[in-house]
Amino acid sequence: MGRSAPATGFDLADAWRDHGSALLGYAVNCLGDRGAAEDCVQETFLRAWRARDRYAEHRGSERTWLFAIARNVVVDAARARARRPVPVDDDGLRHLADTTSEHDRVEDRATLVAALAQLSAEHREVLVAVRLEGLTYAELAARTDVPVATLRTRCYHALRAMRALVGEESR
Amino acid sequence: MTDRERPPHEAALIAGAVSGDLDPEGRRTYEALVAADPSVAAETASLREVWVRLGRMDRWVETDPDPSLTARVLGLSADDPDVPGGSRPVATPVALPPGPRPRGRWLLAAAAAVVLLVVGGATGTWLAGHDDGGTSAEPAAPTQGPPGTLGAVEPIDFAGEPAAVDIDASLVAHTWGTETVLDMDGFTPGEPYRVVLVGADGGEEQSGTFLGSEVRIACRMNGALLREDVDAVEIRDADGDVVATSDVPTVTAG
Repeated sequence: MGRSAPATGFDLADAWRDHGSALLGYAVNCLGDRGAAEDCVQETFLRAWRARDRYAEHRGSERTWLFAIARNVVVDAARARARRPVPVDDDGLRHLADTTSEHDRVEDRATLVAALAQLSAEHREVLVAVRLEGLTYAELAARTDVPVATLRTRCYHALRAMRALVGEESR
Repeated sequence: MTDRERPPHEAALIAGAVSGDLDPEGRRTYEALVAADPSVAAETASLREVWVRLGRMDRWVETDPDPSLTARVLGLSADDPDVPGGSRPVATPVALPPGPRPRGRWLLAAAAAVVLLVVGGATGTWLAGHDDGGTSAEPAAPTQGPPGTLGAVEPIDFAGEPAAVDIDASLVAHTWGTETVLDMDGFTPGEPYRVVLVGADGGEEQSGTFLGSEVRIACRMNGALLREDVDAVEIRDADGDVVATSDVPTVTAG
């Protein structure tokens, strides 16, 4: 990957492999529009690539750096969407209707979604199933064939990770 | 806040308490734990705040990047004029005007969805520059073969476009989808257009967007639909109206 591996330590291909899916999940779940989300992800990597010389100075992880860039891109996009008329027959925009009233809500949602996106798949699965979908641990255990006690332990660690990530975002 | 690491049974009890999912026996065990270790209550309260906040979300959609997005992102470094071998300009996303669209809406027109090259008359120098790994800036001998041949340039004809519009187009079959190579003129300057691959089953795959220009435009679009599944290529305007259509040949098994 000679062309994508400058001396700064930022390797575009490696970054895409390691963080592309999480960043797309972040953008899709913030915007509720796959096409717009893909554009935001591409813009995120474009900005990262152009700022790669500054990455060496960044003290956090590569993922933290990329999510910080993505947050700017996605929040701008979400706010731009919020300023537009929303047709009620568009599923994607109906999903966004909850976030159209205040900038704070856009920011809050972006923070939550970024934290969820950065969890491991197992940790995210239990939070989404129990908290967002309303399943009991027993129902999730039946669906996944994972013991209830294990799911609860995963939930505990997922919440701790969420707490740390939300705190990181808020700083 | 920093909490100590807890054994799994304590973690499970705290999670159950946070989510209100403890049965009476679990509740008694949890209360005994709190009595023995007051930090449990504090940690439960702290995690409960996260739990409550999480409830503001309504759903989560799992998703993975498709090949066309991977190609777009990995092509960024090759498109950077600061990098040896990369001299093509990368267009930045632009805001599109609001308005009704037939399928979803474009928030950002990814003029960078593919690399957009605006040239003043001379075009076609890219047409040989691709292989099956994706688009490439490096010229290579063109692959030959019938429609659907990986890497081969397949000229296609558009119909229905306004008299002022001129389109020379080709398709290139790849393992990850279909590349549309466009060389065109006459589109309204500054207006956004979208290139869509239409599948034989009526499904659609976005291939990319471009802005009309006063000068001739040459660009490549990537769509995650295999060539044998492409029935037509359409160019649509910002309202979703079809400006030009190419009914492409059916790929026969080879």
